Amino acid sequence: MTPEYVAEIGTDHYLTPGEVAGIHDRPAPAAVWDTYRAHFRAFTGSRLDPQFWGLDSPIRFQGHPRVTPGTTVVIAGHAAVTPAFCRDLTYVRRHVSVWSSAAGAEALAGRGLAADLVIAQHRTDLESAAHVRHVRDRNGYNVLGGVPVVVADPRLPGALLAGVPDARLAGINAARGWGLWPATLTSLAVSAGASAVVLAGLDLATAGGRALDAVLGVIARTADIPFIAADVATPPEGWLQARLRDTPGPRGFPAVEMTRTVDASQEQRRARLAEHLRTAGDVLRTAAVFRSAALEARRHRDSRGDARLEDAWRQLMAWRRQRELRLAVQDGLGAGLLARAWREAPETVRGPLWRPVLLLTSELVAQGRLADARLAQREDRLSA
Amino acid sequence: MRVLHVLDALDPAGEAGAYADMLRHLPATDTHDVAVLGAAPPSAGRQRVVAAPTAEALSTLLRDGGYGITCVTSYQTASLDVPIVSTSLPTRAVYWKSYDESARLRLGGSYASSTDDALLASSDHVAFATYELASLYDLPAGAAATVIGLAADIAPFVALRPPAATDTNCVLALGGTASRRHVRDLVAALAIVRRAVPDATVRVFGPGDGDDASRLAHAADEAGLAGACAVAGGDAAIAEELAHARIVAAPPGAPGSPVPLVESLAAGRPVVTTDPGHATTVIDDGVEGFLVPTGDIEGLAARLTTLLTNHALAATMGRAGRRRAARYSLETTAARLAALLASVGDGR
Repeated sequence: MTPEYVAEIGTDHYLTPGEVAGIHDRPAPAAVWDTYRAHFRAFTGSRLDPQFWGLDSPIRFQGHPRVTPGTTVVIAGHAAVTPAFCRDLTYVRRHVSVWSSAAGAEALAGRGLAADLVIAQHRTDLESAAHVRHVRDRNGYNVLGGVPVVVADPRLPGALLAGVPDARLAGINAARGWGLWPATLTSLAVSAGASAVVLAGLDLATAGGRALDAVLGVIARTADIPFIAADVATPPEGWLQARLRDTPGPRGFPAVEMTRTVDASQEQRRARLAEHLRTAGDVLRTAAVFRSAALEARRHRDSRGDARLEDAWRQLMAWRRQRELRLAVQDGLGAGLLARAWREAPETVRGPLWRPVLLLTSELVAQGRLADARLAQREDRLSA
Repeated sequence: MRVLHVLDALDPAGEAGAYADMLRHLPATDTHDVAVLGAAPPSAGRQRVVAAPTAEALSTLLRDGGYGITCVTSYQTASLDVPIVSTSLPTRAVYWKSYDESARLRLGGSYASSTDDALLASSDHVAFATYELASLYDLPAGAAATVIGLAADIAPFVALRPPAATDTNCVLALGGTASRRHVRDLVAALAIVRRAVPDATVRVFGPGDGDDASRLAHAADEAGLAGACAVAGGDAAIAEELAHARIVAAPPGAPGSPVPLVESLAAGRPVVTTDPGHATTVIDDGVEGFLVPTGDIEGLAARLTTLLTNHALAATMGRAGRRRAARYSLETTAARLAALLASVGDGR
């Protein structure tokens, strides 16, 4: 099993291990799928872009970091950037490559330490929006502007990448770490050829809780190298406990190199969204009708509309069987509620049917309108 | 009536903590259980805290718990767990919309979420904390909504004695040091204030890291205000900080929860704020404090000077603030929530 294969599960493109097997000629290992189900409820959301920020992303290349053979990658968080931690990191700095998050890089920079590679990735659009506010609070100062290599989730608001020179910026697949940045960096480090991966200065509980623990355990199975959780009381499965100070590695600052491949242009992304909208066109129209029926049923507070709503519910759930439609709804329209319901809603609804029908269709219809509006905005801008 | 309140992992200083505090004041005639998602639940007063670490566990609880109403309190909980919860909800649903992160960002004008809107739309009733919040959301026809009011534990603040004439001229600045604009404006305003009140000082309360604190110290040094600006940090107790402050300055920038403003008012400290849009929820200009346009440093300094030199006016505003804060006490807001739950339970 490779990190790329784990990433494939994290795209949320499959409903069952059998579906993975049908497309990739090999099933997802049971333990991986079980982790995906138990800790992510079979939906990581790593490709959801409900704000359509990806349309205007300045990212022009996909990046594949490479490190010199023998390099240990230290993934540093910002949770424990104490003087003691900084002393330890300084002690090993000459023989490790330090990778971090934007918040981690900011904390390290405050202590005179620089990261070699920084990831810009958030689990949700809400977290991304909070990051934009953080940068604005600092009068636009963005630590990413001064970092040697920035790898970024293409779904980030452009404002977060505004000061990053094109030559230092590359997109990555957020599904590699099932949406969680420490796991994404771990997966990238494995693919980059790291000889060991060390997590340090990271509060695992805050960074992603048991879900992060679980996916780190899955990624540790993808390579036969030491995975070390430094100064952590309970390391994830497959990870060793050790002190950051004892991190091994040859002398000399290891370099990070980036192989880049051309990413989709803004025009191509726009065309892809338009295609998703076409695929989901009938569904969006039907969902609007279902939504009206749900609103009416709620207004009348009686069961007269229930037959219609039962049909609506069955139809909403049946759409999950159409793979292209599913991808259009998730990856295209960024509608997460229906995507989650496809994974975990029961066949039979307890309680009034108008509620789940209204919930799912409200978001879906709104996302359809928003997608239309975003495309129209771009048209206006281009024609102006 | 049995009510299940679904909270994110309880954070005593956060929205969930304030909500849990309020639940202690609901009438004992009804049963109010608290389901906490995501972490081991601490005590929540006399409410029964029901561990529900996963959505599946919550779903089972809803199915078997005999609840008549479910109160969902946080967008972050709701957006992840509501799809399954919603389909297993044999109860009526109330969405408590207070100043969660999603609402605060929406207030800042840079973010809106159709997921959030869908969650509100599919509730039987939406309880907004303020009119300010209610005005942000377009509910569909037939949706019911009520403005309940903020919930603030004002008791520790009401107990503080009002400032005395002999107290130091300390301005407690809310909002922390994270906003550079806030820090820059504060230092600039203090330099002006000290022309009339030479012993005026500023103490900054709220989030911010060591870097931010050094930046404040550096800016103060450059402005010749060495020693006049200090950082209390976010871990300090706000009641203790207020006890040593004569007045309060609230920051510009992205809106947070108005609860610290309410706590300041409850302490009898007039508030000068440079974020009028947000603060008008709890402050009327010239009554409980002053509202100054964001970026108006001269105006900010003038209002701070007025309150530091005119003790009678400050005391009048302090008393008005205490009266205003009483509207948002846990008891008052809990009574409104209880009335709302009763009406929702009756199907009204």
